[in-house]
Amino acid sequence: MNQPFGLCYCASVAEEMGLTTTENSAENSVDRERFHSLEDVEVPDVAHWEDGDEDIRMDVSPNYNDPSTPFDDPHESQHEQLPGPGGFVEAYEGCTEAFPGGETFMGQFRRDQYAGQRQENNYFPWASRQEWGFASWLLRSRLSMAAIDSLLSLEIVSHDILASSKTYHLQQIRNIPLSFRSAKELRTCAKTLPSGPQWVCETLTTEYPTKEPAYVFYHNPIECLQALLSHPLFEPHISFVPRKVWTSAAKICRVYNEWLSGDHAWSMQVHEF
Amino acid sequence: MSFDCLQAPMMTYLVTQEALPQGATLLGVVLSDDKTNISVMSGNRMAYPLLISLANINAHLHNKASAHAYLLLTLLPIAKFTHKTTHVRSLLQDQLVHQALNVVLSPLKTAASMGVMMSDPRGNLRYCFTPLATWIADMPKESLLAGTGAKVSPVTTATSKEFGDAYWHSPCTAANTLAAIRRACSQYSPTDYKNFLKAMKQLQLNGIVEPCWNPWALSDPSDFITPEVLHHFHRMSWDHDVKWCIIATGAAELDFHFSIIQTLVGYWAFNKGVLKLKQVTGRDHRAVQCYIIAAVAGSVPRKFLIAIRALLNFHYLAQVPSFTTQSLEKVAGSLQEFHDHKEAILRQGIQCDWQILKLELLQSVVPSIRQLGAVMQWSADITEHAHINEIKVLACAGNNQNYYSQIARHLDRLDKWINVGMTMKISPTQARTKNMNQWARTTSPGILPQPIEFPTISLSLPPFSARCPPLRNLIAHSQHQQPVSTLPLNPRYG
Repeated sequence: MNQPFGLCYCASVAEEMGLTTTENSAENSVDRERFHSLEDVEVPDVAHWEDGDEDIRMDVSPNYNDPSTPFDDPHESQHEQLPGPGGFVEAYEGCTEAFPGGETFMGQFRRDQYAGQRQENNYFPWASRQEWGFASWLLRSRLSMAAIDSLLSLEIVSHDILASSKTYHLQQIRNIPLSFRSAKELRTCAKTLPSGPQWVCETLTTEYPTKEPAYVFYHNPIECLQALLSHPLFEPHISFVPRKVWTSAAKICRVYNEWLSGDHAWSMQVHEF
Repeated sequence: MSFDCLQAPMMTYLVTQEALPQGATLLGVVLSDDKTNISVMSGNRMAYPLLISLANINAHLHNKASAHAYLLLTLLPIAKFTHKTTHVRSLLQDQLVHQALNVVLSPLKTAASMGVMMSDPRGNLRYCFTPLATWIADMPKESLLAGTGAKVSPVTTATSKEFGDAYWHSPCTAANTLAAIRRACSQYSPTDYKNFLKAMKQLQLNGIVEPCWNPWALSDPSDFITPEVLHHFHRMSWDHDVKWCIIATGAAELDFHFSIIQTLVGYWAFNKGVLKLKQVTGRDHRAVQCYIIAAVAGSVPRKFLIAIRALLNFHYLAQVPSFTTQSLEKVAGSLQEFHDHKEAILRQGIQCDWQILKLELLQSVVPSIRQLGAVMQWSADITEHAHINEIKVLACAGNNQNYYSQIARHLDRLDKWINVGMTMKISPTQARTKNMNQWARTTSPGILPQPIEFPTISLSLPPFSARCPPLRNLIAHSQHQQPVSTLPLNPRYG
């Protein structure tokens, strides 16, 4: 009971499900027209985003349709499968109409002014993958600009290629051709990359005087939402349809987990003339 | 600040409260604000970030810190006012926060009532409305947000004497709060700070005149202020449950009990007891909860133990990521069990009048789950962790001057870097290999005896690994325009 995914919890849910699953199988076929069983609905690729920024990977999930697996290893199991094989979903009909003319993440990226160069060189404004790797490490490191400058002025980094070709045996370690020589150049290069939402700064006027002017730094929230919405990694995990989930077709026992499965989202969508 | 305009937003609020047009798409906005310390070893520098996320993203994904599902929306101002009185200064700061929020959030409020066209991940346009799904904050921030005073609940009409009641009080709606604000404004001018503050206090308000949620359609503070696991559950159990147990068993005795409990592998050990713990954080609160029943059992009366255990049961059951109607009954049942046995706590000589706001907020857990889904997905753990990535690391990277603008610039660069890294993953791998082989030929002729075999799939670039099955769908979608249909985005719902 220590954690939500703990053994006791899973056991208690399994027990509850055990009470309801027997009747489902019979009613399953009757209501298949209108309701979709939960395993059709929930996302089959469960993403395991590993600790830290370094490694994000998607794993293929276990087979949800196999009734013997769900509670074998509760620590690995994700909550999607908890309602088990007997879930029934009533999705709100007539919402989220799609219109033509939108733009994908890649589309936005291709609209950039340097898109032509990027067709030629995937790593524009950097020359190669190696250089991009080095530059990206510098950009997100905690090094100050002075520290980056001193790193770039090291002989091993900045040594001229022509000079080094004379000393043959040293070439292997000195051969790091870089298109930037200082932290400032590096950041100027980075500025030409296509950007996300832009920051805005505004000074607030207060009725009573303050010691220092009150600045507020912000993004346009709509642009932020758009950035989240068109994020390629979230794509399989975003849904727009309010839904009511039941453990069985008899609609006795509701399941509440996501925001869209709650009553609030449903009641907002309900249209009355 | 104009106070005559209070009437007008109120009207629009009522008008837009109705419902969404046919075919509209709901985008639930998740906001979270908290102050965080950014100076290290010196200074008294605070940042006041506001994070934004989307409730439509699956909870298991947007609760992963590494998924970066919370973006920094605003750095709110922390200004020092020159007024002499402390109360007035804090009133002015509160009003400034709401003033800034009004500036920042106005596009969302417009979109919530009028709608806005936005691209979905597949490149179709959707007619989106942006109601506020939830606002994750700690308790003082909740009161600041709702505009209520310290001695009333921010979500219900309960006052401090009713905090120990065993039932759910009626919700304190936006209309109620706005009416009270108007009454206070009619008594004194809001620029007459001292008298205005007195009038506000009498009406159980905190002095906000133009709350940031005022003309926000489909959003009401009683709905979007949700119970919050980190502050309401864990903090409460440390502040109250454990203190009760200490008084009931005796300090030395309880410490001794804790010290002799056999520790299991993977669990916390309290070899020196719990009373002398320093810098106690959420993790310690959780660890103590694992042991507290075992530590007091036997040395306290049975009913006292039942009350403590019922409260603990409630905390655990409410953290479940998925609820059914039955499990909700269990949650409500354990809270009721606590209220049935709470008299036993008083009988142990504990001075408690049940004026505990957190106890009152537990009553809104079950209604909130029915409305907005599991409470665990709105925990502040994740947003507080997001502060590290979005604020603290960036503040350390600067030169300790002009924190806010440096953070903004750094985040801009980071955004670009992340986007470019991602497109490199998505772009066809052939271009990449061609590029790399070309590089190998031009830069190192003769030294490397044979062409290097560059890995085409595994890249060393953090944070996106190449093993991302969803991405191949995206490439397909970006190349061929999806047929427009009224089908929902996720084909599994179709």
